[in-house]
Amino acid sequence: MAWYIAPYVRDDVRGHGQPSRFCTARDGVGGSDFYASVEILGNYAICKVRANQATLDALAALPNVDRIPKNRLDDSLSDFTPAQKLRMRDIALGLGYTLQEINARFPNDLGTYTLGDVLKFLAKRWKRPRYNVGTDEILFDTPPSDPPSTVEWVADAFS
Amino acid sequence: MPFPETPIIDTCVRSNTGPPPSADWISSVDSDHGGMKIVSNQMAPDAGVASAMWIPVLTAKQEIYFTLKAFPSPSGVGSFELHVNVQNGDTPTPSGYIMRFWHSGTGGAGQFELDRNDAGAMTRLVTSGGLTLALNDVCGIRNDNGVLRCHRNGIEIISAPDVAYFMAGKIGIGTLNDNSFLFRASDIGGGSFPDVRPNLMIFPKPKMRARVEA
Repeated sequence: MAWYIAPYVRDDVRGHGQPSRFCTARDGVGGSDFYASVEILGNYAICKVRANQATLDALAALPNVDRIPKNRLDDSLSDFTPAQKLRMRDIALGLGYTLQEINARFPNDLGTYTLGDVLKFLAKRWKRPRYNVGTDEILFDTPPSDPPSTVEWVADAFS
Repeated sequence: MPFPETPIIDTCVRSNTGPPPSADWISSVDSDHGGMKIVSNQMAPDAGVASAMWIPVLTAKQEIYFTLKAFPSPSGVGSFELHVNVQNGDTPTPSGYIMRFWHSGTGGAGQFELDRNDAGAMTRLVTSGGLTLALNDVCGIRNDNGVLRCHRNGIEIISAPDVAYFMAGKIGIGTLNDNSFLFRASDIGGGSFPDVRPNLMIFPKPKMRARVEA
């Protein structure tokens, strides 16, 4: 089992002549695998996958996909290396959170927090996509709102 | 929870008419689509991309289903679609959830898919493994308090949580196909449920398989 931060990509094959988007991690799982996700800011999703090791490794190797090396929401990040902590911060920044927000939520060393603390922070906000027919673009300029699912729901989906 | 649990709202047994197929329906979910009509006591598309929307507004927990009466031809590529929680229907920018059966052009084989439509931007929530449908299969979708559940003959095929449009809205049926796609439906059912629980934390336990074997 593994957690990922994975991007959505555009698919023009399916849809009413309008673009569709799908999460690259979801598309990488096989027929007997389990997948659950919550959409977050930045056109990304937090994904949980249960699959064989080869599939989990293949998902981690997909472009712009980060695997979070923890399994349970209450798993401590105390053994995260400095590089891993920096990467988590950079992920949050890349999704659209500010350094001020990050520091306010995690005032202490990231190693004193849990996987659930970090994932729930990353899933604080979401922007509903919209399609601009004129420019043929999927845009994320809508007001932020709560995501359409929750990290807890994804965590409980399967073990 | 059994599926379906709501009554048939249109047997489709009547003289050829439409689109729309009756005064209870409006053409269409997306106003850029063609409409649906009645042909030989079955609902059929009037265009390659066609849909019909049931006029009453239903409470958030709702479902729609139908009995499959004709298949895609072996060379056809396309889908049939069921819509729930439709917002801004009969405009160019409807929103809501769509259950699709994608036919890949190999007999009746294809896969189910659940999408969220954000005013024209489709997000694929979940996809099934390969499936082969049979005539008289009953296919449907329910928004079960924020969990979208796709059923075939009473068996849940795929599901996904999403509360973006867990709100009162309309149901609809349609197709997306090329000219060789043949779709016929009858005994269309649907409706809403009173026990709406719009709280993500008290949702029933999900069945969260992204893909399932046929």
